[in-house]
Amino acid sequence: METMPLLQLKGISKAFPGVQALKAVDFSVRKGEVVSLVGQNGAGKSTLVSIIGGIYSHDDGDIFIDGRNVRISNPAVAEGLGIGLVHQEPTLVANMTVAANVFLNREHLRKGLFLNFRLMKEDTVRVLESLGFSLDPDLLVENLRLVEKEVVEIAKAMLLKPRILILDEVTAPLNADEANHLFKLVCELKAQGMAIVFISHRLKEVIQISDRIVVLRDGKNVGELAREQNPSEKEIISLMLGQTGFESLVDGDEAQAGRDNLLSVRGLSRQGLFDDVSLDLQAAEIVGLAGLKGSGITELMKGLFGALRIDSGEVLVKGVAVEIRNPKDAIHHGIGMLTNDRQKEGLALQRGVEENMTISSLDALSNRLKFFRAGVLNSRAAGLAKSLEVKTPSLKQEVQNLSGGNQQKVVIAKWLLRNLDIILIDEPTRGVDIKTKTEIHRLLAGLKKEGKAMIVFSPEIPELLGICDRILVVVSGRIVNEIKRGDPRFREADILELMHVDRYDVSCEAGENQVM
Amino acid sequence: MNKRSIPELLKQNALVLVLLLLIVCGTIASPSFFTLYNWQNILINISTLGVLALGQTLVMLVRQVDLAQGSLMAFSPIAAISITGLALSLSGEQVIQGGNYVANGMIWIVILTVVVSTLVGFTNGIITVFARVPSLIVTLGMLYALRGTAYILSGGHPLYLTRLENVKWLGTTQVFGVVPVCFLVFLIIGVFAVLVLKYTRVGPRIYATGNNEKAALYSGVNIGFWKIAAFTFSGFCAAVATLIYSSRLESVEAAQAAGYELSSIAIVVIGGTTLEGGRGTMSGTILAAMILGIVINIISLVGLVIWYQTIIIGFIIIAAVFVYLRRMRHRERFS
Repeated sequence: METMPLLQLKGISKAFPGVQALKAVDFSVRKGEVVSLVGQNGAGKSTLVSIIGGIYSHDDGDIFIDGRNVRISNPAVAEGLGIGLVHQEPTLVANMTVAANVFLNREHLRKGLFLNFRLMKEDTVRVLESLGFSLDPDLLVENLRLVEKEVVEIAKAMLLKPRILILDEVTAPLNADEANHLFKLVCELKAQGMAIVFISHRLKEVIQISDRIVVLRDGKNVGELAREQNPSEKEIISLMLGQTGFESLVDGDEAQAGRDNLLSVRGLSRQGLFDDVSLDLQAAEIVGLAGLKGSGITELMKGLFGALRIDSGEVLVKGVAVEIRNPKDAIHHGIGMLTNDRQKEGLALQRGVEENMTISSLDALSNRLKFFRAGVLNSRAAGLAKSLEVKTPSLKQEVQNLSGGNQQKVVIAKWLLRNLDIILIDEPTRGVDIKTKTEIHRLLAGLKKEGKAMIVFSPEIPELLGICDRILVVVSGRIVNEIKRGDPRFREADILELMHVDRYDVSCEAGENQVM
Repeated sequence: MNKRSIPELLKQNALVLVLLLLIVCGTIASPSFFTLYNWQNILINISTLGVLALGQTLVMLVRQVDLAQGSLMAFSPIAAISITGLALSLSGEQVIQGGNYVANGMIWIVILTVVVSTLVGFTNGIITVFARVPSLIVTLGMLYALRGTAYILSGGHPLYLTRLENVKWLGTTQVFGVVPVCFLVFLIIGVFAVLVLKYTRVGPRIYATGNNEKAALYSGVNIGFWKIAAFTFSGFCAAVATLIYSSRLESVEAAQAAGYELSSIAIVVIGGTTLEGGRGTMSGTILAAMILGIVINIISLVGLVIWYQTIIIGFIIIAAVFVYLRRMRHRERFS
């Protein structure tokens, strides 16, 4: 096909404070073509489509539609250019009806003034039917299930009959039937000449549906595979990965059998988030959890830490069943947690380093009259700041003025000071520069030598491979696999493959019987 | 269309039920409750705060708050008198005579009150949206600044309004000798607001802006415009409220209507509009204004000291919000 691309992006760059999200990315899609964007979390897929949708503005580069250079300054402009964007998470107004949401900012009017409810409802039902769903247009969005919200979001984008449709991880909340249905629809739209940009973590569905697959890594184009090349999942994964950046900090197979479990979890469940999770954790062990965004790992950790109520299940610390109703109980039983959002959940940003380090240990560090022993507080904090190499001009420095890596060290110090045995770590190095990352990895390995037990989640598999003794793969809130260090599958490609489960079997090429 | 169960129907019309219940209570509590004179009294008393609450409702629906309303009710008529005085002094006419009697240019004063008040509301919106200062702070600042300016412009003493022949009807006349004009004004603005929110595209955009700013933005809604519009409407409502208020008292002073912004927030909250924005109705506010007016009336009819009113209103606010929130949490749990 030598026709001009319907949408073409050339050399798009975008920086956010502290991160270069996109570096000179090229991308194009033609009429009647399905192009997939794949890459790991943080590779820049969502940023790229947000730029196309007019939500972010780009720093550098050009966007062409039908060969014409355009500026997409806001979502309304994108809409006018025929771009429909379905967001990863539904952005709908909770207490408005389905019809009102679909027609938000593009209402049908009678006499140019009054809302034409009847027509809007009819059209909503029609669009939903064309998507193969039937929903009462009078229902409030807040009463819908997640799948239904996703459908309303798609209907909203389809209403304006866009020429370019962007689907950003829309299949994530759908079950197999619903996803199949969506693919059938994509095939029909493609046959009608619509250009479709598809983002998904499920590589099998990506391969089957795409005419081309564009792979991003760290905000750069790293490869492109056409349908004619018969791309395989392995090929895509190896493009997604690039080289692995972390050295292994755990030597050999250290799994010591027969030792007592420090923490045992039996059948932990919370409806819709995680289901029947059981795991054991020994002293001096780091267990990694691997899973995609939305697989329920953060929620699972919060459940263990008492920050999220669990429906059922049992937690044993040193063989004794304990009840954890809130974080205070968890800390009492020796469990601490580093959340993935240290600024919101881990630190008092406008207070000093010392105060943040000691906040969870004040009971332990005060005298019998419950006065703080200021000297002890100070020396302990100073000692930790030194041993963790926290770079700060003074212990009184406001934490918000530290770099991300040093902030993370302060949060770690907080739990070390408390002297807990079990530490749950949700993304140990999020938003941390590469040098500090290595320091934090060494720190965790050191803690392990001292006998601490840790459960670690990271979206970067190499990080888990570097520090963990075992990796549990979590898909949709369930542990589906356990891989020990030493197992031949203890490598990134295999773990990614286990994470990216595929449930669908569709292809646009198969003609009539495209869906099975 | 939808089959609704009876409990659901009761829930959705809880405010109407409370209102009817109060009327029954009042009738039982005092023989003078259900008289024409008393009802006119109630309706007149409701009007000022009711109009103010309509403006506050729109502001709170877009997830903002307007604390400047009370001060604006003092500032705008005083500023209007000053401007009129200045303008007419050029043609040799004196607006203020005998020290503090406003004797001339009443029609100009009325018009300018509306203009000034609406402009201040507009300014509140502009600062909130473009300077990105939270409206709580912007209007808190205005609460002080406007009140202070009102004192300086008026010299601190009351200005008595004379020659009110053409404007007095607003505060004291009854249509057909029954319904007070000021209540009709409240009702007309209220019903207009209900209809606009329900039947024009203003509604979805206001609710979307308040309930989920991101969703509104992604749909191309001009959220800044709607926030400014809400503040402007609130300024306009403050103008109408102060006109009703002043035409009844036949005077204007810098200290008037202090704290009215809190009463208006109280009415809005009792009417079911939440501080989190995007949830609530104008009709709820209208009903809440009437409920509050009747409660206050009953309290004074049964002879309780006025101080009890404040206590009772305080508990009503907390109880109302408790009921609304419990209903919402209940719904969330089962969705």
